[in-house]
Amino acid sequence: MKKYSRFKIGILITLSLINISIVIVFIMSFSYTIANERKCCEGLTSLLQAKELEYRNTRKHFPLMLYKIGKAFSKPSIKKVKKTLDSNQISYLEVEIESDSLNLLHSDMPISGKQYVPIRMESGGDWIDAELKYRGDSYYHWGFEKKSYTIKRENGAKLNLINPKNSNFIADRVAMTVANDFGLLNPKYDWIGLFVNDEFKGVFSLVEGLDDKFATANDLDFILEGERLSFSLTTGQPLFFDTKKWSLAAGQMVDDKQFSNFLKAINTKDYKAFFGMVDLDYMARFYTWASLIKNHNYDSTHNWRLGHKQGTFYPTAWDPVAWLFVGEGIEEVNSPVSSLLRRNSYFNQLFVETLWHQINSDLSEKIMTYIDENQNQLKDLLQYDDFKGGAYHNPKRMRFPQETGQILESMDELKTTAQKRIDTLKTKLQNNTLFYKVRDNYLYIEYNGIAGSYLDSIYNDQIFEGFGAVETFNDSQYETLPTFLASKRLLVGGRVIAGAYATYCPLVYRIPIDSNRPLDIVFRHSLTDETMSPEVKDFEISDCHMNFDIPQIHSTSTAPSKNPILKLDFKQIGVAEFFDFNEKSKEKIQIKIDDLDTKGKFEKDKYSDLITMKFDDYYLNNDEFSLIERLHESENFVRAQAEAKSLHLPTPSAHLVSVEANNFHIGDYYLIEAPSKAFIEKNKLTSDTDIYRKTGFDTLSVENWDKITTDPRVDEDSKDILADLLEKAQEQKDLEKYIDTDNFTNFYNFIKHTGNENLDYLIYYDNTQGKYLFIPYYYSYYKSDNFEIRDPLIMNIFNYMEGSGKVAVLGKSNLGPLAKYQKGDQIILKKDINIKDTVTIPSNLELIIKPGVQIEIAKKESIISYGKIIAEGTKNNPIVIKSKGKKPFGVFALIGEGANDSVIKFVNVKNGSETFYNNVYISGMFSAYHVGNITVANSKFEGSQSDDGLNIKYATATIVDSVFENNSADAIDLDFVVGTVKNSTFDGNGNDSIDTSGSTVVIRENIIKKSGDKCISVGENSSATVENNLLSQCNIGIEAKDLSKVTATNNIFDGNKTALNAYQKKEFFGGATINVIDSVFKDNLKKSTLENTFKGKKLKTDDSKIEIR
Amino acid sequence: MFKKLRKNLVTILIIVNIIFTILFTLWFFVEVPVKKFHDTEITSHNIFEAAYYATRDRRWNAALEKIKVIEDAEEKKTELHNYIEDIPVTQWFNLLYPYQNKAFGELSTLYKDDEQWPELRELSQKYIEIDPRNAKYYYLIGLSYFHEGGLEKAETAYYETLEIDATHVGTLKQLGSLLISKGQYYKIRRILEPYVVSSSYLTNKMCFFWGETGFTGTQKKCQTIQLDDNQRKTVTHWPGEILNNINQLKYVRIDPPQGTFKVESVKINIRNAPVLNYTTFSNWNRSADVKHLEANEFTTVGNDPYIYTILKSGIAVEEIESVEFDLTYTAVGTDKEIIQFIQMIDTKNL
Repeated sequence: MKKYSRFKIGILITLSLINISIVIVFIMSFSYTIANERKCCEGLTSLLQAKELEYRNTRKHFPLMLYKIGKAFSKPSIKKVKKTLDSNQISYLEVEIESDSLNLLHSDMPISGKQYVPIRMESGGDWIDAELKYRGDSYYHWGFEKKSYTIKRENGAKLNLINPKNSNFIADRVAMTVANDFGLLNPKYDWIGLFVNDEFKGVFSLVEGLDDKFATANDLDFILEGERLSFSLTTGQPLFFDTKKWSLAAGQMVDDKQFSNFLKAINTKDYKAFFGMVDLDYMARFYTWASLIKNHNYDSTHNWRLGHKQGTFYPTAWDPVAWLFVGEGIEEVNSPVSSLLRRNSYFNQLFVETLWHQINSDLSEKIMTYIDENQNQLKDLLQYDDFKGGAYHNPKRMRFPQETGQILESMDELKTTAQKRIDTLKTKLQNNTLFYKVRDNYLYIEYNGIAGSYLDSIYNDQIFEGFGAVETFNDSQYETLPTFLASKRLLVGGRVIAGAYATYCPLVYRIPIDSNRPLDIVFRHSLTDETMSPEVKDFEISDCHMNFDIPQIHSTSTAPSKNPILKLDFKQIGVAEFFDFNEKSKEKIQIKIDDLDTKGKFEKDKYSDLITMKFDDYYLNNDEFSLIERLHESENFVRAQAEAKSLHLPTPSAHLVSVEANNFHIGDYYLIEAPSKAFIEKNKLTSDTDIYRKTGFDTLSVENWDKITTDPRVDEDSKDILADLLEKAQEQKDLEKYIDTDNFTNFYNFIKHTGNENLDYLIYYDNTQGKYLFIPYYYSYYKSDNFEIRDPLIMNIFNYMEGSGKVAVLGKSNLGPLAKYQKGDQIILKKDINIKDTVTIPSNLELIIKPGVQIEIAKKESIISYGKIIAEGTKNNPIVIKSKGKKPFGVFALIGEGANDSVIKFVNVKNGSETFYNNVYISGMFSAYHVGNITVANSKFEGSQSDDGLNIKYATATIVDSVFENNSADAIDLDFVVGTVKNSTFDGNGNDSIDTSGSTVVIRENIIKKSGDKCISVGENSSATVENNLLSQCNIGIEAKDLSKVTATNNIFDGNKTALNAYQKKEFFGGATINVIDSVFKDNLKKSTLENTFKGKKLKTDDSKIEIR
Repeated sequence: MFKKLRKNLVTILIIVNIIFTILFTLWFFVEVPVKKFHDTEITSHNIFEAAYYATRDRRWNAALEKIKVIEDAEEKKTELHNYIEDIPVTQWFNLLYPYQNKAFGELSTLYKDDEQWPELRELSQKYIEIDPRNAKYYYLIGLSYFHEGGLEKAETAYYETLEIDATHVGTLKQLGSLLISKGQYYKIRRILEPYVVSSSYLTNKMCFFWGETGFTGTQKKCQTIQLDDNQRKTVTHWPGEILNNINQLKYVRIDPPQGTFKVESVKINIRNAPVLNYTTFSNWNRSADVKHLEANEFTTVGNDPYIYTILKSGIAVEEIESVEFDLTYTAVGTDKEIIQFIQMIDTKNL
């Protein structure tokens, strides 16, 4: 007994000690918490503010664990849950997520939960690919066991599954149904069940997204989403101060000013402007709804979804947080919009009348019915929803799921709350207090109440004719009553913000009275029609600073645009994102403009307004465009274009179009020709060379140049030639060798005249003269006062050109002793000469070759002359230029203005080829580039092993009485030439006998036969007059391509496979035309065809034609 | 006697233990709160965590204070770096770990002062990963690129800053100067527009009200704020006149200009009575457009900001000598440099 007692006592004492220890530990922890909280409180206080985020949402919470264990044993079958969903007419969604994806979602909440993970989703009996993430910024959405989800289908359509916020589950849905009854813009709000990996996750609200589809269905031009874009609410300016706090949720703003003007009207309290941009009836209904559900959420911080239709903004019912907030004010939303509206007496009266009408209709019954309907729909289902919802004001303080019974009870409580709200509003709307006093023959009335009252009479004889003399004290003075009050004999109270929310302000009226008539003041309540009489009181005169403006009817119609409509059809996401400065977007889209219906790429970089578009088919002879909004800047682009044209600079065409995307009017844009091949070639340049586009500010760095085309004969990735230019520009040395000075002068004048201190431009390597051309591409027009070049490359070149004052010395010499010659000196070749290495003749020297001189040039070596050459042989003593040995020499070439007026007479050139010299590709055995005028007469060109026997570019040329025989490819190639080919003979040339490009030529009295391809080929916008020629035994007699025009008169077409052919080869040119007059066709296999001999397939835009008379 | 005592002791112990066990079990499962901090109840399940966090907070706070007084800059940087590395990284660090944010402020300032741009960038990048919607980190990245000559990258970072806060003054100044140096006058005008527009909405007036209520017989004094170079100023206002039209003073209100403001004191000097001196303002009523920062410091978040108090008992007006306000503020006026940008753009704009 003794032992047992001791043992018992021992146990008890031990137990007591344990208990005491526990108490001490708890007390110490508590004291320590308090002590530390006092000492350093900041972290702990913050921790406690963030309570739900870490330990209120505890995963290790013991009761929760028990709850889960209990639920695991009583888990219903999936089949049963689905059956209940079906019978309650609630649809459901099944998804499968890999465990890795789930782990990824949970790895670092909440950030990790915001990334989409791949899922499989059941859709119409099939399992399709989709993506899923947790949604919602607030931890109500993601902080708990039951989370809100966004599921994105492959076509971009999103499903938002919201964990019900209210503890009664259904308040928001009921509120949305009421919003719909009130005629407000509101998204559809349904219930949906969710199964993840065959586990029922509960019932969610499926809320329709406010996207393009919603906007289209409601005829909205666009929807703006107003949320402060930061976790920290203090970042930047408030919502209604800063347009950039608003993002486009759907559609597109045609004019940004529309919204900034709206904010301006609010902030400057410009009622006239504001009323022009809102529908006051709608606003009254909106705030009636907000008042009814006790909403505080449409404040100056967040939750705005602002639709826009024909110049008017409409707030959308969104995330109502209904019947949750405490406070019994009539309307307590704190935002500049509600503040502005409630200071306006007209709106106040409209609002209370709307509200009164609603709460005295069958609204109460409707709300009860809606609650019952939802309750019935959910009651059998909630038992399967383990974690329910009710994140806000959950009786268990958010960290423990509610019981089904609690939710059903809350639904019943919602009925009480909603009814109580209606009753409160009825009472408050009827409340008004009126006092009066008489001073100095004036009756002063103080009106305090949200609803106005009619002043029926002030005298006991009930005759009151002086209502027009009623004045009110406002903004420090008495002012005449506004018409809308005077006409109705209505007096109203003031409303202001006092404290955090709106309240009444006593508005004082003054009426001159006849002191001989006894007073009997009778009011009639504007809502209840009950009469009342004010009491006498010696009140103070208050100033409520009210506004009495009334809305004016305004016209919002705008004239339809006359511009071509560019229709874009996006599939993936909303149009708003495609035109957002801050977003990168890219999609293959459907494009329609004028008669063109095609596909194309739509691409936009982040932080850029410039949209690039590549059409699959050609529009206005181009298939690449930039799309730029028609702003002040782009208007000036067009203005600057005129300047560029006047300075002979290539100018991209710009077309004003009206853009529509997914049936939304986006606005007027410029469709500007991109720096494409089409742009280049239409400006009489070639895309078979290196062209670079500036991509960065530091233009002296090769990295900031994007190579957009390349010379097919050089390495595609090589930027060596550019690097040379940039190096010289950096050093400001020898730039005249790299820059076409005429072009640069024009370019510089352009940027100076237009004030473009920094602009987008191309540098074009002219491989016919080895120099760069500058082509402005995108620019604007500024005042050119204080003009200062900002672009480093242009600045360096300009400084060099201006500072050097040099006469340009073109080319370099390896003639050794010849270099000592001065400008104008001559060197005369009287004797034969062997050239072992390439010889360059500088521009300051004139070379005269005497008759009979024979020049033999070693294989692959060349003579390049930048100076004038007079090579005049005689019929019997021609000058001969040929290779030494069987292997062909390089070229004999004249380049640059220094070679102007060169004369080639009685010169035989044979067995030459082609070469690269100083990065210039010289394609003809005998070539003349940029030489001004050149005459070739009585000469013979034979056996060339290159593209051309004679190649002339950018010159005025006369070729007469010459012979072209057995050249391997073209005999004559004339590029951008104005000239004549006359009385010459062509025989046995491998390709074309005469090939023109971008040229205007007269071809007369020639004999052309046995060409491998064409006797005469006229291409790339050339114009040719062909007269009195014999065109014999060629593959094609005359072929015209790409906008070229040939007029052929008195020719003989003999024995050709095809006498005439015309077609469009390059898509950015149009068709070609041949007119044949008085000609003879003999033994040709085909007289005329319109075939694409290049690709074999005729282009859609090819409208070539041949006319024979 | 002893047996009786022992018997009683056993009974007492049994009773006490049973009671304790019942109470403890009840407390553990029902979670009866011991104390409430703000909205959070300290209960059985979080008391240890609360103690742990409180201890941890104090330790880290003390450690930071210790680092702050280190004089050697390099050592200070190393210590700050290690300090930041030791703190758990979470998106909510601004709330949960404010000392980490302070440490960031200290270290980033040191890096800026010593022009250690890559280090500043690396530090900011780390914070972007945990707080991606905070404009200041992007701004610092832009700044670091800017000083290293990486103008394109700086420009991109500045755009990212403006995406979060279109009126971030530092960014607008940097980006403004960058784009002006590139001659892109139209672009900078578009970028500055939100700032210019919102600035035009900001009041630069400070008003004081006092009277019977918010509306009747109110005395109102407003003064235009002239910003000094630091955009900070102390205002002391003595109305020095007797209130009209009212019998009693019951209501005192301050309408600040946009920005942050700190109220030092409001004194009501009463004849033949002690001065009524308000030095705590966190308990004053405030409009929804005012956000309380800490102690007596507030910031405006809307266009109708004010704080006010209603006196417990009215003071007869004839007894009042003056009402005196003393406060400092950092107003959000239009920045001078940005005004210069706009002037420069105007000279180029057709």
